[in-house]
Amino acid sequence: MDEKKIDKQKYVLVLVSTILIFSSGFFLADQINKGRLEELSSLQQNLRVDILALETQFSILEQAPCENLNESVLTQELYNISQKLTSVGNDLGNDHPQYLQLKKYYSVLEIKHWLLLLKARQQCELPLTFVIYFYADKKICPQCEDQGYILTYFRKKYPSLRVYSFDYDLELSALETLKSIYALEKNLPLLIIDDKIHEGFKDKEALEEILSQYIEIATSTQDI
Amino acid sequence: MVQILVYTGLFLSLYFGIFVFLTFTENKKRIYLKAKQYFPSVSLIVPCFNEQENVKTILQSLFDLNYPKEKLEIIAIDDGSKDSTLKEMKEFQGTHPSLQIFHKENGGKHTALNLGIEHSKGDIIGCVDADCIVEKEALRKMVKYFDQASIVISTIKIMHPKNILEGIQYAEYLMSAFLKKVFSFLGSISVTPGPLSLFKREALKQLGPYKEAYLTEDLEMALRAQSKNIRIVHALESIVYTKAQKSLKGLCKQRLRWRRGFLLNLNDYRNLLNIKEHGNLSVMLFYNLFGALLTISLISYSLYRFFNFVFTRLGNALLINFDFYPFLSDIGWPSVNIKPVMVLGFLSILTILCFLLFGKKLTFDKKSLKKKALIYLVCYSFLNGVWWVLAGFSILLRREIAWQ
Repeated sequence: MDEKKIDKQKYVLVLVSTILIFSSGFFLADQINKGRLEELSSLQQNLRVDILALETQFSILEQAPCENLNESVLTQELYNISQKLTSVGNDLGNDHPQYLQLKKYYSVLEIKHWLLLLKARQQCELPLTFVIYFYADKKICPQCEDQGYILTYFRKKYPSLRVYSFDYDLELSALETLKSIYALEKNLPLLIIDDKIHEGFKDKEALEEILSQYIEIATSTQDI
Repeated sequence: MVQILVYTGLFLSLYFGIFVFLTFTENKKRIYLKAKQYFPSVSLIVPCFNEQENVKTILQSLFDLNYPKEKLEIIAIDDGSKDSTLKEMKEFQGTHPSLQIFHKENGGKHTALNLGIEHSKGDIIGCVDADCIVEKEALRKMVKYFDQASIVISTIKIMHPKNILEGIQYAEYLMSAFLKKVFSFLGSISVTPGPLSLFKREALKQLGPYKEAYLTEDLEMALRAQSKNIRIVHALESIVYTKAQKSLKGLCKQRLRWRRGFLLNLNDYRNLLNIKEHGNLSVMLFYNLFGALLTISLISYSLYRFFNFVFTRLGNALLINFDFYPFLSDIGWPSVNIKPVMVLGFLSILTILCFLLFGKKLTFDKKSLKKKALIYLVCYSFLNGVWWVLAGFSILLRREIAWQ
């Protein structure tokens, strides 16, 4: 029967069209994502600017203590960058060189932010509590993801809490110094809350109990 | 590995979509047949088993057909119904004496059809499901095709879709109407649907009687015809309305039966997969088989991703004792990384939507499609994947299934 007969030309034509459309799909996605790549370099730029801004704030603090210190803007910026960085990690993969590079910048920014606020707390009597959190890859530290989520929860719940998270395995000299100052061992997840080291996973209740020693629970957003 | 599977699936569906559109465009002047009307003698056989609710309606619609009465023979077969089907038939015969009724012990639809064929006299023999309504002009339009084919099948649509489940079936049948026409152009029809299919008497003689065929006698008959190179065409303009499955359980049972029947019958007629001999038909059958496998794989992967997402969120919620208050300020649009799979997936969805719209337009459907199409797109692939899996299991475990 004629209708059943294979029209080779038609099958090939359809194949060529499919390949063209299929490649266009990849091209289109690539074009859309180009914007995101540009975003990536602007993120790197932002990180550099923020590091400089923190350094400047340091100098201001030397000259005019407690005046003109606008830490909340920088803190918010820090958290925004953290979110973007997580999204970049999800897109590129956690071991992508560009992502690792950004993470290093971010870690330096965090350390600078922490040092600034430590000083500001001393000089200006800011009621801040600091948590330094060391985590690692899921394979090495299966509970780190959960710990991170609980910490985010507390950070949002208590506005006076400042959380700085660091990848324990990130090769960064500033981080090595931090680890040696506190003589840290790799018992992850690891928390340093106002100079006191807490090793292992802390669930919501346990962490809230620890934090209650530093934070006035009445100042939580829930109670305002 | 999963990515390769996903992209293979998308490539094949895109290939199929373009192939269908190209075939449709090539043949767009042949969608409806403009041929001289003639009136061969027709025998319509209605096999009934427990159809007391439907039998009078279908018989009335057959008697209302715009076709010369002297050329039309209507035969109702009661296949040992346990309800009052026979009584209803006899009551109907009171006002329509030309109706022929035969009663027999229950033996299955195929035996009822064979009894009807045995007693029929028409040059054309039609098989009609009892839960349908045939449109007035359907028969006239169908018989015109007999100058080019020995078997003519009709377009089936869902009768008054009301709820979500019926809406899904309504959209599915619309799409199927369009695809059947395209398959008809390719000589690749693989089912002679129960609601209304017409056969030339000599074709039926050549084919032999209906078989039980794993409870899919209409599918087996089409494959048998194809294996004997008997031409089947689709009369898109001839419309028959069928009742939708009312419950999800009923729908699942029906589709499981269809898919199981497809696999087992295709195994019996595996020579149809010989591309050299059966060309387009083989390609379409292969496509159906690969499509089933890919649907299952893609659905399993999507379900894995979905449940993974749900369980992660649930795990997080448990970590903070479901106290979401601090996170309320975060609610907003998530950042989405556009991947090729999304662009190509969108194209595939667009293709399905076009099939649906073509089906609606070409069958002169006036009902609103928006909501039904959306529900269809969301639910159907998942359900289809489940049906193929169940069909596969029922074959592997050699489980018998019931008609309903």
